[in-house]
Amino acid sequence: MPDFKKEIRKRLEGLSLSPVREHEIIEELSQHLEDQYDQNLRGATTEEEAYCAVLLSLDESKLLGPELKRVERRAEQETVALGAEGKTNMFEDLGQDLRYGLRMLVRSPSFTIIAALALALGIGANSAIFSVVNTVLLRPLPYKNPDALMMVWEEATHLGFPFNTPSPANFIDWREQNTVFEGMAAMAQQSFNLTGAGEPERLDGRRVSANLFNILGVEPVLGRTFRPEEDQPGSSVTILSHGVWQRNFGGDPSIIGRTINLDGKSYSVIGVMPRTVDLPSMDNWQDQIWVPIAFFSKMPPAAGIITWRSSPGQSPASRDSRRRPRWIPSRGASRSSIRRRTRALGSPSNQCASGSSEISDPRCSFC
Amino acid sequence: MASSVLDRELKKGSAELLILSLVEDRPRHGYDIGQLIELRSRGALRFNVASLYPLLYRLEKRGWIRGRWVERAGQRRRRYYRLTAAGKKILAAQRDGWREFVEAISRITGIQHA
Repeated sequence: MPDFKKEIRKRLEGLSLSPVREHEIIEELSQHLEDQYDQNLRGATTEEEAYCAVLLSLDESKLLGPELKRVERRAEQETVALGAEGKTNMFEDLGQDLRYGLRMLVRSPSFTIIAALALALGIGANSAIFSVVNTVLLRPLPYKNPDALMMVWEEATHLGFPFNTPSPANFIDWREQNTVFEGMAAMAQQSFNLTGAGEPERLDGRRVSANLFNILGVEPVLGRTFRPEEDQPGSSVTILSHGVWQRNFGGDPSIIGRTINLDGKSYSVIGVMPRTVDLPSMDNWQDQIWVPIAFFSKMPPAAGIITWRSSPGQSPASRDSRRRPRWIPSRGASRSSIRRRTRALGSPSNQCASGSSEISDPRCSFC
Repeated sequence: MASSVLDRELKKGSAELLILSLVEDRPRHGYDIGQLIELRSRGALRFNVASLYPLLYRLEKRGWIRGRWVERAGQRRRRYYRLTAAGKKILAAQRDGWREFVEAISRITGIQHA
């Protein structure tokens, strides 16, 4: 069998085809010529005549080189043919493009590694940013009518604390003079040692006003919330988080009325909160238990952040201008932003120190 | 001379339709396509290597046919072309176009189908 590949290769010179493509074309065309040669031989011609006839057909119209050049180089510039819509099947093109892309990536491993790293960093950064945006701006607080909730601090800029946590006395004063908000509740973080229920455990907890959960619109999954008469010194009732109820008490439905020991004192369990309850905190504090805040005269200052629910049709701006606690609407100020803000302010327990339980203390009064 | 130019142009204009039609039912390799065109046209139409393969490659670039190397036992490795989904649409459109064209020419010239 004559070697037609050499003849074909000569005619492809100057087309600047890629080696792979040139090899493919040569192989395909040489097979065609060999078939043609065999057929010519079957027609009772001599080998030489058959060979010449094949070469003649190869050069018959002198079109091979120019036509291939046009196809291989300028396919994308072709005019739209009859019946064509100006584009080919999108998914078939996609498959072709993907295969081409993969081949290119395999050819240039260093470029591939750099591109993959850049993509990984970009995706990671975007994910992180979206997580923050989602938490801070998009995801609403898991409470009833969260737009009406506000966090309130004292303004003590002159002391270096533009967002100061108020003393219990100031909170009581605000609550008594309130004409704008539906309700006000205070809360203060506190750890508790839980004993008598398996292994002793240190729990993140919080002292809260009796009406806090009512203001937030949170219903317990078991039992009830605190009553006003229980928000007094000496109170011994507690509400468990869903996690503690499940983990420490096996989700026992008869937990209500059971006595547990917190910091060596007996508390009666009156309710269990749903797992969605997540109050604002200064750090990674995860409330696991709640007791009434029960203000008392010797209570440490800085009772904590105060939550207000505004009355319909009114805004804090309509309050007495002489006494303006600094308030922040909860819209867009979700848990993380509040945490960030409070963290940036430092520990509230260090603010409004001695004597701040007295409302006359200038450091803790309204600005 | 004028006749040969007309023949060439007609052949050129119909080549895509011929190839798409031949690979509609099953995949075929280039030599097979060339042989079938010659056979079915009773020798009136003939494509040589230089005219057939650039056309095949052009159709493949357009995504109307797809070529694939196939190895079969006892046979040489060959490149078979099959019609793609896009090619089916084009074939249907070109068939309609040619049918209308031929009918129009027939009405004018009085040429009847055999």
